[in-house]
Amino acid sequence: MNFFDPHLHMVSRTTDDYALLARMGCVAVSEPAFWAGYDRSGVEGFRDYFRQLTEFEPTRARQHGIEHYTWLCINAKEAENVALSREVIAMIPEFLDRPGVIGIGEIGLNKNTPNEATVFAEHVDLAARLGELVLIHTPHLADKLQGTRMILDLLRDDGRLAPERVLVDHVEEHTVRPVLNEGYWAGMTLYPTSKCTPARAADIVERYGPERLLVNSAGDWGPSRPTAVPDFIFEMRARGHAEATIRRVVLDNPLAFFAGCKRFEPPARLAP
Amino acid sequence: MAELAELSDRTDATRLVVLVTPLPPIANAPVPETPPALTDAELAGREWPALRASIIDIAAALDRLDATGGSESARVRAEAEALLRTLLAAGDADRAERLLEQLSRPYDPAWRKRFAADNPDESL
Ligand SMILES: [Zn+2]
Repeated sequence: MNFFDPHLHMVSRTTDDYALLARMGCVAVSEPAFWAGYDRSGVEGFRDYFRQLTEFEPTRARQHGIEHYTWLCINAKEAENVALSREVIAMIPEFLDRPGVIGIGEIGLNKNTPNEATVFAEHVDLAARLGELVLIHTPHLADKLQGTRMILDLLRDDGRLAPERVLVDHVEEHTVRPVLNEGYWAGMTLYPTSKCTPARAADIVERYGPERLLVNSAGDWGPSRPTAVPDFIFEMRARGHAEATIRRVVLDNPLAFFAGCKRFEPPARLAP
Repeated sequence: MAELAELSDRTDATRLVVLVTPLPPIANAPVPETPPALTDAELAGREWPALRASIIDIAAALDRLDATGGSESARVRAEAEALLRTLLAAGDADRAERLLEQLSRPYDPAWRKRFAADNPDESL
């Protein structure tokens, strides 16, 4: 089955991963800007990273017939440095018109601090002013419930982003309901030891229906599997779900959400 | 594949818009579009081996923690046992959600006030 992994940090993955993804049916990936595992030394570090995301990774993906889209921001972890964050936010518009750039992300909270909230609100302001889609990272483990609710509060405070233009990622059983009820798209990240598993993601689809739900591998430099979406496909099949339901979650939903970006061109491989 | 053909039609942008707006609200417990087709026996047979293995893994891990006799191991064991008590007390629904809530820092709806008090210069 063809699938679209909407959250995959390919800068951390090998070319073998692209080859494997292509053989498993991956037609597209989207890569949010994130933390490199160390704090960058200044705004030029982000400029170089944004060039990697918009120049080199799409080229590498295309060699395997995979379309590569990307999101730009300063991640929540480095957002503790508000002055640097403002320099990065001011630079983002330089890159927005590049092919494959889909919007602002993954913005969010990490430890739910005042500085993170300030930088989140300033990213939301940028997206609202420029009409960009937004991809949101919700915090890890014990901070997720609190941070997700704060993010929903901050989006409501701003009030300018239509819910169907926002994807709230890394939802689990205790955070998915408020996200869907407020009209946002919700992403389930399939990780080996934290976040969701393929079986729990299938449970959530069974409970809430496939509408506005997406699954991703969030493959990065930590414990993660870039092939987690196919694992979800096989779990859903083993439970007897219709192919159309599975395809809705792994392909139709991401395509429908991404279509909200004025620059979005669907993967060429899906052309009739 | 009709939907996909529509999505792939780059000349007809309006169809893309129709697919994303408007989105109806999702109620607390909507009916799934396709209920699983597994029979009771098939589901039970599929779940049992992994469930059995997981429970034995938990028991063995608690034994391992006991064997060290250390205070940090005792703390982790107590936390795990508290989760197991929640699991057994949760009734017959939402067990995963209850455990995740127990593992979460609480959400304070008045968090903006707390931030403003900490940072009087920056209003959110
Ligand atoms: Zn990520």
